[in-house]
Amino acid sequence: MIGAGWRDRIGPPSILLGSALILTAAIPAATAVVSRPSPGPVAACPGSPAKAARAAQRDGVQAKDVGVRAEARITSRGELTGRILRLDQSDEPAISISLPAESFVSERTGDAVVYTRSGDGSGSEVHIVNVETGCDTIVASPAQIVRSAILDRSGSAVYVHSVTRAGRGDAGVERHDLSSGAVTTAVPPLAPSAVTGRIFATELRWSTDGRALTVQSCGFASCLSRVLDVASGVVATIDGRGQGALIATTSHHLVAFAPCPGLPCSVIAFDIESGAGELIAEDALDARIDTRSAGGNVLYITTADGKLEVGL
Amino acid sequence: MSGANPTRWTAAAIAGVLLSITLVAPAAGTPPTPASGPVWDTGQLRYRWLSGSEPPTWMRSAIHAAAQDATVSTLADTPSFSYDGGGAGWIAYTGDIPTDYAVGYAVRNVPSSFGIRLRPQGYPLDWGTLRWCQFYDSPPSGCFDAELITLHEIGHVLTLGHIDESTVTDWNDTIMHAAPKTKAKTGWNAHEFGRCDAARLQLRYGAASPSERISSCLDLGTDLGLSASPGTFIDYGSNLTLSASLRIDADSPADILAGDPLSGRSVWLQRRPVGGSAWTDLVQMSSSAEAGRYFRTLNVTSPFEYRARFSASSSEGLDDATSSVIRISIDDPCVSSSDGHSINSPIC
Repeated sequence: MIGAGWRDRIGPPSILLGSALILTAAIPAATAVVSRPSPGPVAACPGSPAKAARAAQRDGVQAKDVGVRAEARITSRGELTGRILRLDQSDEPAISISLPAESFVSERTGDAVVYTRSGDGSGSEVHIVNVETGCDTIVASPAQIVRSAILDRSGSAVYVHSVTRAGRGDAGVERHDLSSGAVTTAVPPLAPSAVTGRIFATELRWSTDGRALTVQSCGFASCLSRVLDVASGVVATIDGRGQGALIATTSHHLVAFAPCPGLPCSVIAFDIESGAGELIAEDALDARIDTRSAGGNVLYITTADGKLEVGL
Repeated sequence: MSGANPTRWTAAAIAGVLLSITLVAPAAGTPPTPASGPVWDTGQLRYRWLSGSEPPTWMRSAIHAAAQDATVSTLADTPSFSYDGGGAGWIAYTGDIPTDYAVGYAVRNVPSSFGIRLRPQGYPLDWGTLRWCQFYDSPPSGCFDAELITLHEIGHVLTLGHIDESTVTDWNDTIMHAAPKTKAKTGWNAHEFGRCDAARLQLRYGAASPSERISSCLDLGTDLGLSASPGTFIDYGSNLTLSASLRIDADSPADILAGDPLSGRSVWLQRRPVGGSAWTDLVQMSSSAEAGRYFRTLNVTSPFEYRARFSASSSEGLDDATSSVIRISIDDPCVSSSDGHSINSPIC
């Protein structure tokens, strides 16, 4: 698994903990543009996808100041037609990538950003772009509609969540090995569940120790999470009705809001092994985890009465 | 804020008031919508558009309509909602919502501010694309009604939570369903709070006014008192004023509503011969300017027993009540009864 040295290279792991951004656009994939207004188009990517991914991560050592923004494109009538992935570099012209409505952009990992795009009736693409060099590589081309994707911490595989083209049912999460191109099912498709009802969104999030991938599927009111232990392939399911938006997953707990319609909201820690939930705080207005604390993970919770620190 | 704060309503004391208490019975059907957190202690909540995330015209119209819906349909002493470019609250049209799966999202920070986020038209979700009905000239099936969703979010701002669907007997009892319906399913375009939403808001904020209808989602006992002026011994042929006081049972589990006066209701004065058993409706009592008070003045020439009767409308959640009995005797100087009291003597 991932050691401290790796974390030093890509920066604080907490950058991985925020919510991933879902991108949208209406333009077909074929018309997408990856452009650097000047001096020219994005640089060619040397070597294999795995090499490109690892190169992107290595570049993170330099920690150059490249802003990554995903901007919504909304018409004057208020319709979301797409998003622009913009890489703003301090000393070079910005790179902008037009994406369709059915697209996704991950948070930055080192210098790597994963983005996906799907067009009507055609396949999907999963890209890794090196935000420093602009090198943009297609690392997977699933037939289904890709909803999101996330790079593992070693840069050796990308995990891709899709829905079916027919009916947009959950198609599970596949692991795409960047060296061999092998595709395996990491987390199987989610059957319709009384807990969640119709699935509105699925989120992929690495645990704070990088050893587990949480796949949280949410209906209109509540969520169900499956936690994949990457080493063993074992999937633990946490499907109690008391689960809302994911905050973080540690080695033993899944921390989430209660299934509230907004904030304030209770914060609950679920034991990954037993699924039992424990109330951590009520009426939280914000909750974030910090993995940099010397004593381990610290959950910072903000309420109307002040801040609360909880060691996890 | 409409009307005075019901907690500050006072009821005048009347000598000789006799109370009849009807106990609260548990309500059948959908319970009042759950709620939590402190309530707003202000008459008005103003919202603005969040800079950079301003809604399009059609969505603004739906938001304003929802604000009006909320203002008029809570039946409670809740703050009204209105647009103000400098308002402390804000509404955003954005895909940047803390929960990936919500189409609307509310943040409530009583007493300082609130925020509502609404996802843009065309936003892709796992199951498909979000469509707002108001975006279309001819809304397709499966679209969400923006006015309803905004009203729902305003419900959250007012502290309402989601209803437990296992307790719902009629979908239209509430708009606070975790999963609102899309066109053209039942309740897809409700533009007012459901009766059980209003019930909870009344329990938390009080009724909008003493004459406001009490939600039929509640089942509250009432107290009805009756007093006589100038007293219970009346000179033959003189005027007797009977005053009734109607209020929500102070001992009922009615939260902030307990003890509140009830105006504008139908309160009847009944009478029967002294010692009789059958009551007859004599006259409907008139409403007084004082909250919860009703009166009737009679010219009295015969002894009778009187009581007041409140018959609750089926459209509201109040129980019937009758007052205790007041016996009125006639003080006739010409004839004395064996018990020392005067009795009527038309030929004195």
